[in-house]
Order: sequence, then structure tokens, then C-alpha cells
Amino acid sequence: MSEVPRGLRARPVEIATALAFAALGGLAMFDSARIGFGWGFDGPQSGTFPYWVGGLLMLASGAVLAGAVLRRTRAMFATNEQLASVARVFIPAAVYVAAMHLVGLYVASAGLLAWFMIRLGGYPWLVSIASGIAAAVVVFVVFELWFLVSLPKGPLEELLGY
Amino acid sequence: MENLAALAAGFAVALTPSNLVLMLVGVLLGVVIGVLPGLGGANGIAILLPLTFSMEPVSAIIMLSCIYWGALFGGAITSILFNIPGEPWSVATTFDGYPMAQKGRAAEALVAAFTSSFFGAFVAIVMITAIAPLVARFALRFGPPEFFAVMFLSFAAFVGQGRGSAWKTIAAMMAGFLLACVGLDTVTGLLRLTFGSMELMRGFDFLVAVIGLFGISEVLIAVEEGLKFEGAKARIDSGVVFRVWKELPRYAAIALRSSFIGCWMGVTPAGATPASFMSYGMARKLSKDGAAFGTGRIEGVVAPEVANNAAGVSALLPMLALGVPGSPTAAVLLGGLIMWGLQPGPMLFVEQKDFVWGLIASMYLGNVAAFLVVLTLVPLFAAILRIPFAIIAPLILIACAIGAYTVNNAMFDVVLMLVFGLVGYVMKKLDYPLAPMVLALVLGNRTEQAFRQSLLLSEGSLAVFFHGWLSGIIMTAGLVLLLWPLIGRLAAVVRARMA
Repeated sequence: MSEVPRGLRARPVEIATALAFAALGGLAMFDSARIGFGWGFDGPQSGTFPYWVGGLLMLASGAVLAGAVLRRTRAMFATNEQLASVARVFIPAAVYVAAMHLVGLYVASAGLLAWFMIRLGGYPWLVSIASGIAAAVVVFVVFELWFLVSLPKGPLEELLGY
Repeated sequence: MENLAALAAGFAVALTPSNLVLMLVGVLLGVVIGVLPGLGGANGIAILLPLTFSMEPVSAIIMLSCIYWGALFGGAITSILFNIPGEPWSVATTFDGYPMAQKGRAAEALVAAFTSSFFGAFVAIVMITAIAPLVARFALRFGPPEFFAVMFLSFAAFVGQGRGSAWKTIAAMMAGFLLACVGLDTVTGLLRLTFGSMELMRGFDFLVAVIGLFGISEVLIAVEEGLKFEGAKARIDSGVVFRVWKELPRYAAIALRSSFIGCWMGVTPAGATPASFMSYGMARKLSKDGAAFGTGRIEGVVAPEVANNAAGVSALLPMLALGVPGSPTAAVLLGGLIMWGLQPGPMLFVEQKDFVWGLIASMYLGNVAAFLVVLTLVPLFAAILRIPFAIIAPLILIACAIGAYTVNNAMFDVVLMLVFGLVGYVMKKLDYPLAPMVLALVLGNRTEQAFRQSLLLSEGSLAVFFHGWLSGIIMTAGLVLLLWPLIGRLAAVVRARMA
């Protein structure tokens, strides 16, 4: 059985997700109990609806959890290889969002496109960076100038007078 | 006849030059969105919605609904040429469409798919024209208990007609309702589920959730599958078109049946995807040589394509007449109505005649435009898929980020989008359905409002939902649908005992 690919099995992920949903339901019930879920002087209190919704969420995720715990399967959630390719896209995306806070959307977008082209596409550096800058300029013209929608800007745009 | 007069007035609204241009832009964008994996009708429209704030509501909805029609048509292109469904509802089209392409009959498959899509859409639009005003007039008599009952029925249908685990459907739905509760309670002015966070006070915007759940997660799923596009080439010339059109009347029975399935599944929130599978399955079961399905039968393309377009279009009926959308994309359009300052629900047909009938007229025109665009421009759209993933993926990510940011001009929303993307990826992998979650997030506040008002009427008794005969019937139907999986299982047990 050396053919079986290594990776993350479905069962632990299933259990963790059900627990997370149950926790969300519990949290909602707790917070709703704080603001009241009974009958106020002007009708149902604020917490009524989320309280019962939270309860149903706990019930449903409990049922999913029970099913996942009882049923032993060796089904895969994703192989290591698949997880690695997801990470190759998700990590740059996370860095992109973080970078947007510092340098604004335009510079970050140029960087994201260039990174993908160099690392995943195997394009030459110069072509990739030029494409990134070109894409950022197109976005700038379309949004900032045509649609007059202001997108997040950083120090570079400030330097250029925007 | 009254409808026809209203429709004629609608055409006058839709046929202005600027609206025609918007229609064409919408259709072109829509086909591109439908072709690209990771961008679908729902999140494509969600990304563009903020750009329409300053537009006339009629023009905005015409453009956005045309994106939807374009996406419904575009899904077939990648299914047939590349064996990659651009949209979930085109999965069934790959079964026979791709084998046809491999045998060198790609052009025929495409013409059949487009013509069927057009037929399905057309039947659904005629149905909307005829029935939507009646439903709306009927619904004018609805009070809060009836509205809650309709919402209950819609959500119960997800549980009853869903193909996966009923508990997972309920969990996803309840999570959506909870997300809708976060923020300021407009009735009492209390903050709910914010846990002291300033960012959460605004609540979760469903557009951000849609972009993350449908857009980002779709990109992650796509890379995981290691996208390699190796497609057939196709050019459509007039010879092929007329040859296929001569052949198609033979499948009129299949097309009619599939359009009924599509209309029915579209009006109930089961949606386009199950409709396409169901009508493919029916066509195979009822065919004399069902075994040959999957090897490149033209009926196998006709059945799902008629059904998914019929379902996609008729999902707008409950959205227009009742304010309860039948699909995630219809939900996004409904969110648009609220943002443009319109009150969704049956009053729309009374107060916003121009808007409603302009939209309905634009459905006729938009689908004709979409049909012509896909027939003539197939090679162009197929070329889009040949752009390497290393270029397409970051461009989709950038589009999603811009879309999420422009909803409220908030950086926090971009972070949320990413989180929703990851959540959506895990949920998809574990077969949690995303559609009920998004619908619950969109309808949460109005469901809760109807619930509260009903309880106010009855001073807290849940029996209020069964007091009126109308709400009673709808609630009972909802309960039957909700318990359908259970009833089915019981019946199986009983049958096993009897045997």
C-alpha cells in the first residue's frame, strides 16, 4: 500500500469544522442570553432570534460531529501535494492583503501579478514586473479616473501627487 | 392583456441606446465571467455591484442581470471544449458535450447548447411575464406570518431537496442567519454578537461574503485540481448552425420537459445545478438508448442546458414578486435592489412599474443578445481559457479584492473576504452547501423582522403561523419539505419490512 498518497484525512477536518460551528452556535447563545431572549415589554427581545438560531446550529453541528466521530473512513481531505498548491496561492494572497495596508492596492497588485508570473508561470523577471505595473496602471485608469472610485493608496501614490 | 401593455412600456424603458449598450457590456462581461473558473455569476455581480451605486436602478439591474444571462450561456463553452465546467450548473453538460468535442463535433455541440439555453431562458421569461404579476398581486395580501412562512418554505426546500447531508445544510444556513444578526439591531438599538469589536458593528456585508465564499474559494479549489487547459478548437459557421437547427426540433419533447423541470426548480430555491442534473437523468432514463448517453449524444447537451437556463432565469420570479431570491445570484441582485433604495417585495410591481417591466423586457433582449454574442464570438472566449493560470489567478484575486473593498471602502472587508475564502474552501471540500448560507445571510434580517412582527401580533405564541389558512398551508408545506429526508428514510424502512 505504498501507493496511498500522504496528506490530510477528511475525518479530523470534519470533526474540527463541526466543533467550530458548534462553538459559533454556543457563542451566539451566550451573547444572546446576555441581551435577553425572552419577551420584553415591546415584543421579543433582541437576543431571541439569534439565541434559537445558535441553538439550532449547535444541534445540527452536533449531529454532523456524531456522524464524523462514529464513521471511520480513510477518505482524504487533500493530499500534501494539493495542500502545497493551495498554499502557493493562498499565502501570496494573504501577503497581498497585508501589504495593501502598507503600500496601497496598486503597488500590492503589481507585486502580486509579478510574483505569480515569476514563481508559478516561469516568466522572465522583466516581463513579469512590467506586466504587474501595466495591470496596476490599467486598474488605476479604470477605477480612479473613469469610475471615480478611490482605492487604497500608499506612499508611492502620495509621492506622485494623489 | 394588461401585462402586455406593461411589457410594451417596459420595452420602451429597455430600448434606450444607453441601456442597449449596458446590455451588451453586461452580456460580454457575463460570458467572460462564466468562462473563467473562479468567477461566477454571483460573485462577478457582487464585485461589480458597488460600481452601479450612482447609476439609475433600471440601468444598473439591466447591466447586472445581463451579466447573469451571459454567465448562464458562457458556462457551456468551457464544459464542451475543455471538459471544465465554468459554472457548477454546467457540470451535466460535460457528460455528452465533451465527448462530442473529442469526436470533432464541438461546433455542433456548442450550437445545440446555445440554442437550448436560449429556449430554456425564453420559456422561463414568458412564464415570468405571465405569472410574476399574479404572484405579486396575490402576495400583496401577505402579512408578516405569511412572509415568514414563505421564507421558511424556501429554507426548508434547501434541506429537503439538497443532495448532501441535511444536517450540514441546516448548519450552513444557521451560520448564515447568525452572520446576518451581527451588528446593530435596528429594532431595539442593541449591539449583537459584536463582542466589543468596532469593525463588527457594521455587521457582515453579504457581498464581501459572496466574493470570498464563491470567488476566492473557487480559485483555491481550481489550483488544487491543478488546472491544465487542453481544449478542442471550435469555429461556428452558418452551415453548422443551420444543420443543427434542422436536427433540434426532434428533441422538442426533451426540451419542453427540461424547461418545466428548470422553471420549477428555479422558482423553488433548489436552483440551476440540481435542475440540470435532474433533466439530464430524466432524458437518459426515458431515452430508448439511454446507454449511449455519455458518449456524445446531442440530447445529453440539450437536456441540461435547457434546464439550467430555465432555472437560472426563473430564480428571478420569487425575487421580483416576493422579495425572496431563488438562487445566490438572484440574492445578490436583491441586495442590489436594497442598495439602490428599492423595497423588494410585491409592492415593487405597484410602485416601481418602470423598473420591474424594464427589467423583464431587458430579459428578452438580453437573452437574444447573449445568444448572438456566444454564437459569433466562441473562438474569442475559448482563447481566454488559454491564458496561463499564473496570469489569470492573480487577476481574479485583484478583482475580488477591489470588489470587496469598494462595498464599504473598508480595508477590514478585504481581510474578511480572505477569511471567507478559506472557510468556503473547507466547506466545499466537506460538502457543506454554500447557497443556503448566502441566502440566509441576505434574508436574515427580513426573516427575523417577519418573525418578530408575527409574534407581536400573537403576543408571543408560535401558533400565529398556523392561524391564517394561507400561512398555515405554506408552513405545512415547509414542514413536509423539511422532514422529507426523514420521510424518505422511513418509507424505505417500511418497504424493506414489507418485502
